[in-house]
Amino acid sequence: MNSEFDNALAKVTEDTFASMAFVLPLGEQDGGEDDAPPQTSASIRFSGPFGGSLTLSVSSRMVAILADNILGRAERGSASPEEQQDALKEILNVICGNLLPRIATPSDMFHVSQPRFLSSGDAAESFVDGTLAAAIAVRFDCGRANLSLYLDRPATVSAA
Amino acid sequence: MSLNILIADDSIITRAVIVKILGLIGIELGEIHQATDGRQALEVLDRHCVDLAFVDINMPAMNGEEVVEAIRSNPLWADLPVAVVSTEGNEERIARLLSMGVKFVHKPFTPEAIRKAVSELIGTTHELRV
Repeated sequence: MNSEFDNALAKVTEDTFASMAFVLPLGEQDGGEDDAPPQTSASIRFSGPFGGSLTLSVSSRMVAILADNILGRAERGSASPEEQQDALKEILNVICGNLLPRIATPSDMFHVSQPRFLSSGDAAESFVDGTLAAAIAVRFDCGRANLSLYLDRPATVSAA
Repeated sequence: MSLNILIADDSIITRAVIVKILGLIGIELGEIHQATDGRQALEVLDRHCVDLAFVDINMPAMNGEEVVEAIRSNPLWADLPVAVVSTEGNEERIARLLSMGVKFVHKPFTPEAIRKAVSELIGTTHELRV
């Protein structure tokens, strides 16, 4: 694994969660409100100068909060299961779209697949393309997000 | 005058947020048509009068760039104000879209970014808030 990839992925993840869902990353010393294990996942594939996949996992409680926040609903738990799944997929889509220019160059063109929600019956391994390039856990004020980036060939983090 | 809007994005959440923002910035909304892919977006344009369109790039069936090309090549829709809302980071593709007269809004977007795009597309005839 590559710490530059970890840092790039963490930065894009923090920015995306803050911009879309108004949740803030916690510092090392901060206690977490919810440290439940991530059990809700989505995955996305991409191809271009290099290919790979990115998987995002959060707890069921956290995905409900993210969906409510994005939709601007004050009442907790008001987002439907479909909206919650869509929120997770769209967050992943935005993370992936903003990560790729950082680990490639702005002139590189990628094709990004539709993000897919992984139900409990899906084997996460079947959505893995290549070797593990980054794996991070980012703690937010409403829970923890785990992300894994797989690449089918070596890439370097750009200055962007 | 109220505006008929088309929002083409496969994300329910994104479509809902754009509708909410349009209300917040003071657009007088008429009909709101939603499409989950590019083909549906063109079907909406075929059947309805639309004043302003928001189009994602990464959609199933037909991507947003193809939708914009179809819009610009059809004399009935060629002048339709279009905002492309996407995570796209490829400079060449963005330049190609801008050359087709669209406004580009990068995801994740803020209400201000949507307001700015709308203002530049139709602002001369509408008083916008924010």
